[in-house]
Amino acid sequence: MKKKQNFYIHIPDTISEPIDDIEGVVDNFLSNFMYLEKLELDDLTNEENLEKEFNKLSEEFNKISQVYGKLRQEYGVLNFHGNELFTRNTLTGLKLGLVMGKLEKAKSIWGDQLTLDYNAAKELIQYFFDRYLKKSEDDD
Amino acid sequence: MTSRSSKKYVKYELSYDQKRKLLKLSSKHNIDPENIILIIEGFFDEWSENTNTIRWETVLTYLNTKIFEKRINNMADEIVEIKKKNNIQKKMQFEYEDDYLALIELGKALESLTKIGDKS
Repeated sequence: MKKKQNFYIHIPDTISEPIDDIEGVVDNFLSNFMYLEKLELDDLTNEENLEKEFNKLSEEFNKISQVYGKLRQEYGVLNFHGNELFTRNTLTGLKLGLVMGKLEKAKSIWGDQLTLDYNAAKELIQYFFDRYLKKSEDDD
Repeated sequence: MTSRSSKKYVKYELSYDQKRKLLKLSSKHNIDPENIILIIEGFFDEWSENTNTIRWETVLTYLNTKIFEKRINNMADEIVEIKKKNNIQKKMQFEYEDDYLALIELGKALESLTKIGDKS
């Protein structure tokens, strides 16, 4: 707060008198000022319709909350499982890196006699390396 | 506003918390705090002409209806997003499984080669 500024609201006494909790009303109006701006008094004349609308919406809200909750839960499970698979692949890929080291050694001894396509293997390992070991830095 | 002079007003001072709230809303919606107060006072003025037909509870019901509408809309948007995310996750998991099989395969091939290599 840069300066001590006070704010006042002028409330007609025809309103301030019948309402006990003016502070609560002001609180609510502050939070909802953007709705007050568009509010026409005609919108408030049919109390029965308003209540119907309110009940309809709160029911709708309950339903959509359930859908939302289920999806969030599904996301949680999927995400957890996905992380597990990712970790498993990362660890397996790391072991592969060690084996690759041995392969280098084998290649130096056996050279062309190796039936495995050495370059293809190397490419594949590079793919796994990029995907599983670099991923954490690039993505999410 | 025109009838302000003929009406009696209570000058209500915002509490510390309400003042903070006002300033927060002001910066969030990029609107002068005085304008927010004018909007609220404007409504109070209109309402004061009809206090016998419009109860506070009715106003509250109206505002809560608006809040619900907004929340429902937000949630519907989020649901679309989560569905997208879930589909991506499912797709990724298929790929992870494929990758795993490829890794195992490659591992076996390399293992057998290095065994030959070790013998020498």
